Amino acid sequence: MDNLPEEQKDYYKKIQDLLGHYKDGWEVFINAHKAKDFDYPLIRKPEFENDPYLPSTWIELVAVTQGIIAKDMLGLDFYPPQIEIIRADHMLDVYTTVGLPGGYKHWSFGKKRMIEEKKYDASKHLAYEIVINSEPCIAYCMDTNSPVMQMLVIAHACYGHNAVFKNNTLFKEFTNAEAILADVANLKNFVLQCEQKYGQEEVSDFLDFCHAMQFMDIPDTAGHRIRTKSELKARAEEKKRLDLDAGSRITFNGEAASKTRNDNQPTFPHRGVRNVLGYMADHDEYFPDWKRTIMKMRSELSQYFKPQMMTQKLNEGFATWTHTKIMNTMFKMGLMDWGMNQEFNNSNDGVLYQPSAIRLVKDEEGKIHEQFVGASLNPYAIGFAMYDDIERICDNPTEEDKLWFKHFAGNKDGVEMVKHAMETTSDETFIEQYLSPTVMRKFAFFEIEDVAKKNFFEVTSIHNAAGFRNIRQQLANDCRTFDIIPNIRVHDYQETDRCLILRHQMKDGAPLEPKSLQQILELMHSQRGYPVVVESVDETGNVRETFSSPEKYDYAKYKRTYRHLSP
Amino acid sequence: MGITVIDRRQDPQEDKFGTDRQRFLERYRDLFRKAVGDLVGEGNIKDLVASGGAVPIPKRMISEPVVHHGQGGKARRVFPGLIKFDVGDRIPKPEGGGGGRGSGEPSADGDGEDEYVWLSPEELLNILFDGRRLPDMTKLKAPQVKVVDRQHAGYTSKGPAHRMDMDITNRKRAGEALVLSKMSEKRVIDNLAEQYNIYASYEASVPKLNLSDKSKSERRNAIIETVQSLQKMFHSFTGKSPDDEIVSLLSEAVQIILKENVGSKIDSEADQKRLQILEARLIDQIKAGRDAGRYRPDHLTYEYDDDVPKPGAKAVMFCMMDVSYSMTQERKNIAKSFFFLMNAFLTTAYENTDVIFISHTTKAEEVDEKTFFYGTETGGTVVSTCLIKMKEIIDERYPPSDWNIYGVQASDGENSQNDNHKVIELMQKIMPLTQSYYYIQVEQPSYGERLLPVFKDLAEEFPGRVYTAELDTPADGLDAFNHFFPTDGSMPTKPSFVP
Repeated sequence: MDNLPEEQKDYYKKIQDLLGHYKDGWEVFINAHKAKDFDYPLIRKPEFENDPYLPSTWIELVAVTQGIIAKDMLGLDFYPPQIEIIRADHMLDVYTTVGLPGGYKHWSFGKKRMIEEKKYDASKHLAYEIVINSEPCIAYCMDTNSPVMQMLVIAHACYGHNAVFKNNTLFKEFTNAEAILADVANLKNFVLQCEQKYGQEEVSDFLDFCHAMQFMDIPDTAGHRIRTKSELKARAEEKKRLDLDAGSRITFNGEAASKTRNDNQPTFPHRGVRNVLGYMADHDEYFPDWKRTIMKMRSELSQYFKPQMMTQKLNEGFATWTHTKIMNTMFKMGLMDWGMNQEFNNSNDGVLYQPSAIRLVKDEEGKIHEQFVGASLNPYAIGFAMYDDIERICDNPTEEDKLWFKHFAGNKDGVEMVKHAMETTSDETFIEQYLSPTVMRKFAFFEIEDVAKKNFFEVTSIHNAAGFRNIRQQLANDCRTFDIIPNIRVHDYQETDRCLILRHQMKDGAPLEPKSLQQILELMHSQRGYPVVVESVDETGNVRETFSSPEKYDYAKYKRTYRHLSP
Repeated sequence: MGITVIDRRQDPQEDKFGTDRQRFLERYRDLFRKAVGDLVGEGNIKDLVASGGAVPIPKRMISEPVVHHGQGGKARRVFPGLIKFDVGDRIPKPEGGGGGRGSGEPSADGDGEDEYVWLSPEELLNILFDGRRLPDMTKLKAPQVKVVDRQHAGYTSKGPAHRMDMDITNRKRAGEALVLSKMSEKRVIDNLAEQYNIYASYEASVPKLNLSDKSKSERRNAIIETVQSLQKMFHSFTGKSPDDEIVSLLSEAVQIILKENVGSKIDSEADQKRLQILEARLIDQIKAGRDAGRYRPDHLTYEYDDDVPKPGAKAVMFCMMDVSYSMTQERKNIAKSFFFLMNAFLTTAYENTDVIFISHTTKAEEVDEKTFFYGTETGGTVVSTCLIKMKEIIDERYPPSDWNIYGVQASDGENSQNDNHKVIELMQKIMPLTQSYYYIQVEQPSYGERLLPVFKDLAEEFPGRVYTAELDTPADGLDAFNHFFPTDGSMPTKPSFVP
């Protein structure tokens, strides 16, 4: 089947059929490019004039053609795409609402919008598209994109990102694409009702608190998934088998867990919950019901963004890989001419540009020396390079690849392997499992150690055989979004003074930023009415720093008692 | 594949009523008030009234807290693009500590930068005057009405040709044409079909024509079929082919073929009468269809104007202020709020508004706005000098027959007794030329002769023309303004305002 000439393959025939309905035929995309107009009118042959199933606009035709390639050639599975052509101010709206249209009203969106407008006025630069993980998968495309750009953007968003949304295991676990837009609308309506009942100021202040709990409202595991009774039973048995009580299962370090067990003290059942907002909604006694509802809804929305935070490189890389495949196929088929190919390559090169962290600078004496400028990794570039390399390893492996990627080197099924990598990993595991020495050398990676007190960085590994493991592991660690945002969890609750104690697990000795933390604690205090404490704990389990509201609150003088709440 | 493409280019923005923005301005009202106070203090009155202005807001004041890591600790990180270095080498850190572990939201860090918020004139006025209801400028009436203007007041069916509203006229015609042309063909066909069926009922061999419950193309086919069979039956071919208009085809079949061949067989009187009626009606019906696209007299629509009293088209506002050392910047800003409002009002009430600034100490001179509010001069105070200057300028440039003249004078109330007499004399000369005159006292004078009683006397002498106000804060300017110009258009109850 694969050895058939291009012209006899299924997708080729389907596209031939489709374009046969139009007067421009095979030339339709080229003509639109020449006209520089993505509103290019489609003229059908007279015998098909009244067929309602044929695409009636140029954009629709592009989407259908690319859909055939994505489905039949690459074998991708995706949600039905919905393309929305928008103006610049709509795009600013999308920025303001973080890509979720139809949210509630709040002053902070007015502020965000103002900042985005100012940025836009200064740079005149906006994204070409933004895509939403929903079913149908909504892709916002700018009306200023040229025809080639519009083709690239549709392939990128509607088939690349879309396929990740539908197939990646994290998205499957944490998000519910069918319900997300309805969830947003529900929250909006509920907030509106609350404003009418309790006053706009009260609700607005409460939302300030909810917004301040950003990054402290994301659950470790997906909560929304409905488990069947048999599943629940199996889980309970598994728990029993492993002999894990609620406390030790989720403590930060083994030492603390064993200590509490030895002391024969009851453990706080909610210790270790990362979703602090959700914990407060469920178990704090001092919130009225409407506040609990809003807190839970906010927490669910944050959960929706969790996989996106964890799969940036994987996601952008796969979308770039997909659009490159689709556009190259269209060029090979003759649907694009050389000029269009040139334009596509130009914009693609811009997308894949990776600036270097070290730059050559001329000093006053005319001597050239190296200067560290600290470029961040371009997710499009690294993601695309890795997928591209997976394909190469499958088709054309070197001896080195055979050593590192025994399980798939030379299996001649590159596309399947790429899809497999996309479906089963997050950024961290993607790099751990699939970063090859070739890509490492291509990017000339190096690892430095940054100690806050010293005025220099020390190079600890470079892109050679000895450094490969180090670099791969460190790069994977850099992708652990949930280590980079502070790891704060519920630790304890004191019945005596009703104080909520949170714990921040420090990593590499990085402290919390005290100013904004203090503001957040004060907001929490004002909402629940009782003190809140954050303890910063280093790797050995010693408390290094405490923050509290009210400031310098001596919570230790109240004896800690663990509450027994029914699980 | 269910692909949907939605063109949203014509859609409004998400926050189409600006609710979020209003709430933002409301939340930081205090910040904005201070910034706007400075802006009005520094800015050019005319520009602010026309287009608004940008106010700086400190970033750290409006930042939302997000939990994130601070500086410190030890971290390893991977970067791309190595040149030359090897393991163990030391790279100097760039200035500003870039490349360290920056995480969380960068905007959450309060750096010293300011955000600039562009405020529209309405927002500016709203914030400046602390949310108190602003007078509806358009509803206010100028003290004296001079000119009568003609304003658009509706539409009529008769009028001069140049006042015809082609838009509405054409809309009426097009709407009617749409209805008539769509319906006329159907009416004609129904008419002919009825005639046909009457004839057919007298001749058994002629097939009946049934057009009810049929779509357009079905009707067409049925008619063509029937007419063709009719032509064959009577061997009468009139040279019309099925490609011709369906109406003419059917009318020939009925009026020529059937009338000639079957007409004589009709014996029922009722049927004859009905046929006559239908034939007569047919002519009108065809004509109505043909005339569907034409203009008729009752389509014509003309704009209608009515007399509306309007103040004269031009106004000049004299801003006069004492700039001697006793007028501090604070006092000047209080006066500025009233000047600002007065100018905003005159701009809405008149087509052209000029503003003249006269500053005075012991002598008066015409200056630009900047010098007027920020120039510092030392010397005593002789109020009459500025009135002399005003009189000069009126005589030179602003003939009262063409211009509505308004005077606003701000002072801290110090003047010598001798000069007060002079002021009264001058005012008696000036008042016949002006619409009205406002005297604003920004502070109780600690010593010296008082000017306020002089103007209070003048207010009694020229009722409804001279007003006085004592202001303590910029916001009092709004109250004074509201007092002098009640929104219902009535005269103010008292000529003086005290906060």
